[in-house]
Amino acid sequence: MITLKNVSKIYKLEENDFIALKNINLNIKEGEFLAILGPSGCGKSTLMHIIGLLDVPTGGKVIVNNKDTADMSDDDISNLRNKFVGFIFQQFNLINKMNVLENIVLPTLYTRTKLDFNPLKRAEDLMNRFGIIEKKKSFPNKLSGGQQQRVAIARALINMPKIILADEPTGNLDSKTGNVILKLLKDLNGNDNITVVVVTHDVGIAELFPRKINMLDGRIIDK
Amino acid sequence: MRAFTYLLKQCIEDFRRNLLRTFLTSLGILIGVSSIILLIAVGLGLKEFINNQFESLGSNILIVLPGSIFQEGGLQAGQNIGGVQFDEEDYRRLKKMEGIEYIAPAFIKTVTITGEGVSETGDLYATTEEIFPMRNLTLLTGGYFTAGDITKRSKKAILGPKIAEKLFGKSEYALHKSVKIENLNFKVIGILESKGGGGLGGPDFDSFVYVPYKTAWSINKAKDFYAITVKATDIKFLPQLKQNIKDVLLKKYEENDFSVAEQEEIQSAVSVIFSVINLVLIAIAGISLIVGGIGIMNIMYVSVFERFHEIGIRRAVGATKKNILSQFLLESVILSLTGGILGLLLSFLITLIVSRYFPVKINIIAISVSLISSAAIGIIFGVIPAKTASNLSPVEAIRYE
Repeated sequence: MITLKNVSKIYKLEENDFIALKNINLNIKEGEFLAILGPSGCGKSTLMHIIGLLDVPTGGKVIVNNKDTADMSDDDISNLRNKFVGFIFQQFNLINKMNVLENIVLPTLYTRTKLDFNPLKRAEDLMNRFGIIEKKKSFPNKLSGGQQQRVAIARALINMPKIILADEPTGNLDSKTGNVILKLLKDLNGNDNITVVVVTHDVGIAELFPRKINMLDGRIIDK
Repeated sequence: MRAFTYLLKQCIEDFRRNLLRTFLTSLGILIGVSSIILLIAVGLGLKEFINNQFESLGSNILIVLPGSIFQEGGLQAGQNIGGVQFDEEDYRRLKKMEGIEYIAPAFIKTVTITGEGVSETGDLYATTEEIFPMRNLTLLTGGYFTAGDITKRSKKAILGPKIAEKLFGKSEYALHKSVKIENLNFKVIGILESKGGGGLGGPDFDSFVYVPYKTAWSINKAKDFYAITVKATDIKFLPQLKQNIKDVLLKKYEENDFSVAEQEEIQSAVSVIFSVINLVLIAIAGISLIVGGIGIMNIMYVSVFERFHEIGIRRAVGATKKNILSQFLLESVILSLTGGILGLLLSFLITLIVSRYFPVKINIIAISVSLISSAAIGIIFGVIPAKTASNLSPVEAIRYE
């Protein structure tokens, strides 16, 4: 589904270059439930951004559905982010001036092909499923962390993506709410057959995943 | 289309949230647009006013003037004006020509006119009785002087309504009264109806005191005329008549000593002068539109910097560079169009008030020019901030708090 070959990411700094990722080789298969584990600053978020096509590597190849992303235009890559990938962030990253419903349907506004579902209907279904339907007209700053993260998950799911990329999705939540969110991600993988990749520094969370990738100093240390 | 409607809605909501900022940003465009529309309105109003003035002065009219006033189709600057003074012989010769309906020579002099103890400065217009039908000068009261009055050098005067009012309080009161012009006492036998205007390129017929030209010889010792006005019997004779008059006068004068002008030529020349002045003023007002545009650019930059995070989120969920570019361009166009529309409303309001005192006219061209130019300003000055927004790296933008 997604293959990374010899991927590296180097940031040019004033004094010396900072190597965020070095020779990463990784293959993510359809339907996987995968954790990327490592201490903060090990490059796991950078790796997730590259997998999700939010960032480009300075070296190596990112191959999505057998296509080299280096050969794709900005429009094509945006299109993939729109329909193929769903992001969940530690900071939720909702747009504060938009209400819950508007936040959830946002990705559908950028879909360039004709939608084969009614976005408002699907948003309602997702809100029902995640128990936030009564918050439909609320703005994100009026919601609890757990509710905000559920809105973010609904937004990630609206375009029926093949893969969900979650960067520390429980990082800003208490452990109880965190567990609810993890359960939700597990269901998406188990019931909806969506590939889920979770980035975490929490070994306990990583233990829940059948496949774990450990990272340290920009490298994968085992598989 | 759905995405566009959504963006439009969000954009308008954003502006509503920052109402004061939106208004202040639009203010530059508002001022620019309203000044441009008002200047166009004044220009159009003046043009129509001048044309009406000229048209009310009769048609098919040729004016024989001293000096060479036209060169290459335009009005000449003063240096060649001067030339000859026409005399009675010239008038007689022209009067004999075919194709002339009316002919009136004119000796014009600024004089002091006294009536019932009130003295006013006015213009003496010594001419023939034919001036009245030729210039459509109708009577408010009384009668005209006749050809016989000219031969008899009768001391009869017809007053324009303005001068009559100045001298006697109400113009009708002047009838049968006596006015004194340079030691000659004239009896007022008629008062004209107002023709309006004057002072905007056309002569002010309301302020003249009309007397038989021969009676005025004691004032006009040289017995000459400043101009001879001729009305052709038909418009199709006008070019031929013009040439014939030239031929007659060329027997006596040099080519540059006189001009035979069609009233329409003078009219269009005056119109051109006003149009040029108007255009220059509009161009100056255009500068304020550019200043308004810079204001928009400034606030668009602020808006882009404030919304780095939002741009990052939109990019993460699939917005292309073009989507972001159009979002910010749309905002900038709406901002400047708001200014444009408010400017339009303001100028409508001002025009409504001003039109009571001054000829102003708003037309569809002024409206479309102002709306198109304000939208264009939005695009031109919005494109650089919008480009900045669209070129942001999604991952850097989303990290920005």
